[in-house]
Amino acid sequence: MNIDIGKLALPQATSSTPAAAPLAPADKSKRSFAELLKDLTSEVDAYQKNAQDMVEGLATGEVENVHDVVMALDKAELSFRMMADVRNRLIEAYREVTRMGV
Amino acid sequence: MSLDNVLSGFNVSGSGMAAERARLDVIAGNIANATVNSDSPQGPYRRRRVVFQTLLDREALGAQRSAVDGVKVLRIEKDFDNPLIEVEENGRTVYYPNVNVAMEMTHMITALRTYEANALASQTLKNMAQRALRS
Repeated sequence: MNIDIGKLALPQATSSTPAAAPLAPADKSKRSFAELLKDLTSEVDAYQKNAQDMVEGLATGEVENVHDVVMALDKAELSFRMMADVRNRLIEAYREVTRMGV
Repeated sequence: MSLDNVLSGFNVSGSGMAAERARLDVIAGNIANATVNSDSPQGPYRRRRVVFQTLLDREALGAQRSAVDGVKVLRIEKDFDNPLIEVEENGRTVYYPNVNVAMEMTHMITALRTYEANALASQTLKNMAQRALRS
């Protein structure tokens, strides 16, 4: 099943330039799922480290806006939840396969 | 990074909150200097006001995804539209700042409410994403 997210989110944009939307996913599909998951993990890690830096910045007085810290924490939390959810569903699918009767 | 697109809404709300914080700083300055008077018209404090500008995400426009606009503080300018208050004291003219404290209070309420609205927007974005994950 192939769902074009770009078409769902932006019907007016894709109708004007139909060639632009399918190009980006096609390039990424060459990479393996393991690579993608690895990239996602490192990205989530970057968000976690950024949040850590922001909290440290708040403690040392480098950060002047409190909401920047909260935003960084929110981003870290949300990205981690997304990654954890992908992982959980993957494991769930694997268990489903192992339970399958032959 | 790919997750940046998903989380870009936070940056918009964050820019709004930063802008309102800047506005509150200016208002605080106005109130703090509300009684800085002088003998000459050049002497007293002049009310400051903050000018905002929409921050266009050019990268997003080029990529055809929903272009989200933040806000930035363009400049903080002196208010020359409202005249200084002239008061006769002991036969000579004393100039007071053109700061109306009641007006500044009103702007303060606006700044606070707008900040709250921005905070709520980012919170809602987070709730929406979490709701999607739970489904």
